[in-house]
Amino acid sequence: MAESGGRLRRLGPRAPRQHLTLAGSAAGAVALAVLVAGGFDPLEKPEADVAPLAAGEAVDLGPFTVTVDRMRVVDELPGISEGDDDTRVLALVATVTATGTTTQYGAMLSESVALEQLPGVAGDGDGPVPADDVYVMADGTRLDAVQPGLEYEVALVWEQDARADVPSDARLVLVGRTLRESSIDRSMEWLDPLPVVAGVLEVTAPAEEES
Amino acid sequence: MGGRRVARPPSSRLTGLPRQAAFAVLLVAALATGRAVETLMPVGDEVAAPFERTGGVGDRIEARWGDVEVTSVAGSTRIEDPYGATHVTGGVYVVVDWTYTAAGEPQVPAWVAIRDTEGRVFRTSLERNPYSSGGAAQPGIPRRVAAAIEVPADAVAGAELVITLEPNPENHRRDDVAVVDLGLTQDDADAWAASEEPLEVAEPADGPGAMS
Repeated sequence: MAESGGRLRRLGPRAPRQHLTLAGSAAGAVALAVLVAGGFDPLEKPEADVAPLAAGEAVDLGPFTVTVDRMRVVDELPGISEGDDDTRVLALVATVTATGTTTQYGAMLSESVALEQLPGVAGDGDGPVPADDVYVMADGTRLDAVQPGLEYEVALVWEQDARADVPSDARLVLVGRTLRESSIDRSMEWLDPLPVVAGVLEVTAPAEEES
Repeated sequence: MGGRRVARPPSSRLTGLPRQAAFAVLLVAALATGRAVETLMPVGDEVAAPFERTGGVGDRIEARWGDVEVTSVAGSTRIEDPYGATHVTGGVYVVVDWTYTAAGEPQVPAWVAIRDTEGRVFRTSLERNPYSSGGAAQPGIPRRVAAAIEVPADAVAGAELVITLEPNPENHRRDDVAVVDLGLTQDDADAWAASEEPLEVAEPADGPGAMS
């Protein structure tokens, strides 16, 4: 016991130094490994030069070309939303095409068109709120895949709490992406979402259209 | 005489580096070597390309993971999916019925797409381009499945149906892919682009009668 205690006393002061050496070596190994592997991709910060939104003008978002047409409030969208006393639907009508040679999925499209914070429209955080879903105007079915070479007239929709006022306008943000090699698996992917176009669009209520 | 040798631990002072640092250097050297080899080796797309097992409509195509046989091809601007919803396209819906028989173990052909003569790839999805594998098919039991994919009319002539297991195309490398020439012409494209007759997309089914 006495010998054991003596060894422990002798080893005790050395242990923190060894841990430091080990940690330093590990950190150095990681840093060198990252450098050897090509380093981290440079992080591009969002640029301030976001172009103004213009209805009827095609915007290249990378995987998609989106032409915003109009925005309206709908109590009922046949096949899409029945509407009720608690919610109403804000629908952005737009034309969409896929730019590449392969299918792009609807989730990326709905993430590419966002509303700035609007009372009654729930989002995950403080930033713009992506569309809840995308529907094909011709048949009211959900657009979960955008095929190359086809043009779709779509409704991008957000649900709004009916207790909030009907907006007279809304600020839209269109988010672009860049096709580049993924740092993780080196596959080509649409990455680096950044706002490319933003602007205010008038929101039309059904009653106004009828009058 | 009678002296005992005492084993002495090898001194790390010989290398001038602590053991941990030496390990780190070796690790980095191994990574650098791997990267250099990867860069220098002629690993091109051709080497990693999948093995395409080709055939036509009615042919039984054998792949590593099972057999595929396209039994019919039709087209229209409208389909009715298995849930009763009608889909309308500005192009053409190509509806393909085919039979799949797993080999060896239960398998799910998760990647189904139409490839046109320009190399464009049109994949199935859950709703807009309905296709359901019906889950893993038991080996030896034929399963009838259907896929409906919307394409522009100019993609119809010469189109092929491409089927394989892995849903991620990055994982198709060096694996078997069944490629079926659907035998379609511009006349088919024109006729289908003008058709408003809804085509029914069948649900998957197992059992006798699945294989012709």
